[in-house]
Amino acid sequence: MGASDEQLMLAYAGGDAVAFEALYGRHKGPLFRFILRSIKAHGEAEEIFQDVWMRAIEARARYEPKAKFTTWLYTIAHNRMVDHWRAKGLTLVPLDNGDDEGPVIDPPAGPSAEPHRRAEGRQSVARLLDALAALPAAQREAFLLHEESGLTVAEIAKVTGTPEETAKSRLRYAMNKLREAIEDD
Amino acid sequence: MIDGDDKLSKRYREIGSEEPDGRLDAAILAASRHAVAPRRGSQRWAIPVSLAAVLVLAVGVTLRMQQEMPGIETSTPTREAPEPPASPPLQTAPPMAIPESAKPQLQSRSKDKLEESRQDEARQATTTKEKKALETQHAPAPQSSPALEQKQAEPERPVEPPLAKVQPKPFADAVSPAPPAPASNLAPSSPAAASSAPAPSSRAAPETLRLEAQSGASPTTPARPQADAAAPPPAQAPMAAARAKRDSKDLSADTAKKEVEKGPLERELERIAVLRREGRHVEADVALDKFRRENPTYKIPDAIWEQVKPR
Repeated sequence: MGASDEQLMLAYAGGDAVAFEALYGRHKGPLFRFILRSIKAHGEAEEIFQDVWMRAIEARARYEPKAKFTTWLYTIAHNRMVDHWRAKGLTLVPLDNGDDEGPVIDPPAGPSAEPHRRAEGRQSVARLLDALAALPAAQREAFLLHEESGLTVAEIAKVTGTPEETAKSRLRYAMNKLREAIEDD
Repeated sequence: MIDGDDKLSKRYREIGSEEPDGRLDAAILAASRHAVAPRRGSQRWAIPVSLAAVLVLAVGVTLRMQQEMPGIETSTPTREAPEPPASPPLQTAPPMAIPESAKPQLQSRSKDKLEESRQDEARQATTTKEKKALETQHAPAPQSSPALEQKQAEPERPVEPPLAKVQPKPFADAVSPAPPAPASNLAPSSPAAASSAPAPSSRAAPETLRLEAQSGASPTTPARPQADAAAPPPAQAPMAAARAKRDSKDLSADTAKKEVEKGPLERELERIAVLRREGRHVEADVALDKFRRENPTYKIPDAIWEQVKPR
């Protein structure tokens, strides 16, 4: 296999633009879906997605491979989304709430408006999407971090700045709810 | 870790795999290339530009020295004698050793000069404050002694610039505390400064020059170090004290500056909060944006966010 993410990032910090292209190719899809399914509005998701990468580019000189590159990148994304929620006037309670029954952030556009849902046309997938959208933001984020970027519970805790037990609890509750949704099929 | 999530994961994959637009990819990749490209360019130009800057500075300084040199040479006789105490190596040299080492040289020159130097020594002995200040000056002495030797070995012209450079500072610092010898050093080209100097020192200048001419020594080269040794003590104490004060001030300013630079991220956020409170929202927005870009992984606490958030 090729160079690791950390090696690529260090190479980019050293001036190797090609290394960044490889890095971007690896992570653009998962990161974009993580943001899109958290934010739900396609335009805003694109804006945040671009901003996250810009911040990563600007912070390249300060990058230290103490942790996985993925953890670093998704920490930037998490902070950017927190800023987004804050700017929208939504409280951080859902994001920081570790309880399973935390308040739910009403998405700017409902799940039914998701373009990919119409494209899929499958009931089960639609149910899953609905259930995902209905999750508390903190649980949804934990699930997406786990599914899209393959982060462990410890890494999710690090990205979101929460205790590991809290991250584990959020992920467990999220998966239970989603499982119930697809089992209804 | 969590069992039974295979089915869920599989179903989740069926949702689809959206990707960002191609134009978004292009924009981000272009930005990534642009971010590293300018640095390469600056590195490529860094050496030539710095070399050119050094050349320009060197030529400028040389031309300036050539312009100033005639004035310095003509005014040397009136300045040479009192200059000694102001020359850099002697300022830092031990107070007692300098007069003793200078005595033989002075004797060979003239009795008048020796008398003057002895008078200066007597004056120094009576002033306890100056002695204390001189004692504090012992530390830098070893550094300057090699410099003195080097300067003595050097030809006349290279020695001139340091003198011209060093003189102004000691002058300003030493004018009030040490009237006798140093004042005349300080007035290389300006008559006003020379007139402000005390009488004894201005008298000493022509005398020493005359002696140098009689002994056949060049007015600049070997004579200067000897003359420096002749009348150092009185001026050194106040100058040293002033320099110590100046150094301590610089040090404290530097440490304070470093503390500010090393301040935590919270300090920067507090600054932004202050901007918000003062209603300078545009500046606060810019600062917050910059903070976010420089510290993308830092999580701003809710309490602080309430103070810094965009209005």
